[in-house]
Amino acid sequence: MSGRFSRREFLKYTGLGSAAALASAYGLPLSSVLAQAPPSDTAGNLVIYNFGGAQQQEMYSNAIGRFNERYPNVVVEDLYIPWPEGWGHYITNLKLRVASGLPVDIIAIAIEGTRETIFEDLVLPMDDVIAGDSDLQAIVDEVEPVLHDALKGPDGQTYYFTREWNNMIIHYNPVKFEEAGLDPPSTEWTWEDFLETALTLTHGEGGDKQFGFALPYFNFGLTPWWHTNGTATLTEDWTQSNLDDPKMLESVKFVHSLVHEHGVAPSVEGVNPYELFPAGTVAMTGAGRWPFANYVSTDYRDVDITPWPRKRAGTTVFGSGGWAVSKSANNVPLAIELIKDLAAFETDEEAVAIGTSLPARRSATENEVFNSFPANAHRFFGSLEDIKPVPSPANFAELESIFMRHMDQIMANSLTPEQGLEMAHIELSAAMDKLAERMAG
Amino acid sequence: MRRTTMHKRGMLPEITPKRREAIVGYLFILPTYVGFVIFILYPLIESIRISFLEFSILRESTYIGLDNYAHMLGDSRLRIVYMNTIIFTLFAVFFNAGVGLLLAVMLNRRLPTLMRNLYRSVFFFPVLVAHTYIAVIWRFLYQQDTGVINYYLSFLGIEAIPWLSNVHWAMAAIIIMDVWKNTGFAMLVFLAGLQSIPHEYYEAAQLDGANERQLFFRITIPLLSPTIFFILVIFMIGALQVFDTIIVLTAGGPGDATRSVVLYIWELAFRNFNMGYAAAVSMTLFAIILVLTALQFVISRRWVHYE
Repeated sequence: MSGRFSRREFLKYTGLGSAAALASAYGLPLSSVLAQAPPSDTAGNLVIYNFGGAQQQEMYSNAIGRFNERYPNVVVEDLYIPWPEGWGHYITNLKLRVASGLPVDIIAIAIEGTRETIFEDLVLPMDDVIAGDSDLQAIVDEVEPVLHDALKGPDGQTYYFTREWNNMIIHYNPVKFEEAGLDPPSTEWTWEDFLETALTLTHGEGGDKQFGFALPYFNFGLTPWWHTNGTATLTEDWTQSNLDDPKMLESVKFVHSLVHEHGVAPSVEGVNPYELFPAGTVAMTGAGRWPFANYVSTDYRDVDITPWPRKRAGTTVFGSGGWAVSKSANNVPLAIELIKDLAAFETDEEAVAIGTSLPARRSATENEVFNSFPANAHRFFGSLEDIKPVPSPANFAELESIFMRHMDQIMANSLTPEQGLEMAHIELSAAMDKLAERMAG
Repeated sequence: MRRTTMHKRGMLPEITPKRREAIVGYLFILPTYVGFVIFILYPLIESIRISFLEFSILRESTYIGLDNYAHMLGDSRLRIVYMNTIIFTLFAVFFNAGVGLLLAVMLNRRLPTLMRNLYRSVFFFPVLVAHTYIAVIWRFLYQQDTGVINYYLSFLGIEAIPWLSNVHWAMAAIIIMDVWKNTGFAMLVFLAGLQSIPHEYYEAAQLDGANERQLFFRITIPLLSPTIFFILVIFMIGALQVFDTIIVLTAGGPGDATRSVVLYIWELAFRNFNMGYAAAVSMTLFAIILVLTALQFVISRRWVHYE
């Protein structure tokens, strides 16, 4: 096929792109104009607003390479923000970019930021497009429904295609368990079992001290303690503060006791559990799959995983990321084609190989690479049987700031758990009311 | 007369040497003025405008009059962050200037050149290192259960100090790191000031029987007063705007115990999307810095001596 573009084709596909933009602007179904993919000799530019680590950047660079094999005349710019300083900051920069008229065609964001981008009308709804595109439908069908649904808007529409995900699961050192004469933790262990185990694993003094557990001390990392007690920071519909739930108080007291009463976890300020765990200073911590990239690169192998200990439930938490087409995209059909490569099975396979976050497709994990390390790697996807997304309203950054600020004071003993949660509940309730007003316009 | 003549000839007016000098002068300062207008004056005017709005980047902003300013009156967090900033400023300015002066006086003594240069470099080195790198090290040093400082303090029988997790110790931890990081700059400026004091003054005073203490307080301090004034103003403005030292070490925590005004403004604007209120708070900080700096200049007439 000739690389030249005829005048007729130019008019046809420019018109297609413009019609897509117009359709989105006027609320028409995109499927009406996106019935077919642009031809392979389409020329143009695409900009991805993206985030992640260096290894992920390389992974997505390979996806862009595959896209360029199909569309050699399209220049793709990957605006890569290594790790955003909070999702609020990431979204603000995105808004500034859009407001300045700078191009953004594809938006990558974590679940914590999806609602805000939907509310601010930054991304295109995709249900109609998916219905008319078998490739996109296949991508959606291959992803676990719970992951796909979590990224939907409050209106039930699909805006994002799942990029990756992480749950919270216990990472433990089997060697330290064996040394302490402990069996590997049961998959249905309780908070009491966990505490007893952590106490056994805590010993030594000064520089030789070993702790049973290092708290993953951040909003997402703490959430399994709430979920396994059948509660959360927000109500089920993410519209009201739930910090006055007695089960929240019970959970926060338990977390506090791990450091201050039982001494099985080091104090939380200045501690990086993902340094202490491979260093052997702690025998257990909690994380998703993301530390495995570091474990693999440093050849650290003394690790296995087990579900979070339960109180009233076995529910853990997950967070995911997604790809969306920006409402300001110049060429929507082309952006959709690029998303097909970014969200392709090959990308998931690479994610498995480098040991970063979990891939969107379970099928990408059904191989030796994934299942050889850790020994119970199947438990990552196994956790999907009983899991909830991290509460992520449009004001997530504010929620996180309010909650963690008060948790800090509780963990620093400057507020009791009762006082801290009460104050946080008042502040969060006001923030959620303000959000409701903002949503109502 | 001359203008008329030149006008008749149809030429541009002749530029006198004085005028040429003025034009050259203006051209030299033009980049600074352009930079000032683009990066300071225009954002300042925009901030004032935004402070009267319920601001949205992508939607239409709404004019709300003085609502953002009125909201400050009931904002208990604002009072806390202002108090933190004042405490930080008082201690950071005092210790940065005090330790810097002490180091400069010690280095100004007759030391072998190699030793003096070595010490000067060592004390100045932290100024050159980015806060992020320093914070990684200090967070490790400060850690309560696994940190190096508490490890050595334990040999002295001192119980582990919760440097970063206690609301009282956290601010002290930040001030200590800030002084370690920035006092080298004060030292260098003080050293330059000390070296510019004519030695004859000391010789004359010594002939009159002045002791070391009298030399320091009657000659060194008065003649160093312009340098001290400069350091106080610069460090005060910097401390009132403190951001990076805090965000990298405690991120304002625990709770709001170490949150500064600028950190609060940043959080309001870029995390909570409340640009209008953030702009209003930043206006109060601007006014406070302006008043305090002007006050320093007024008071300085009483104690700063320019020989």
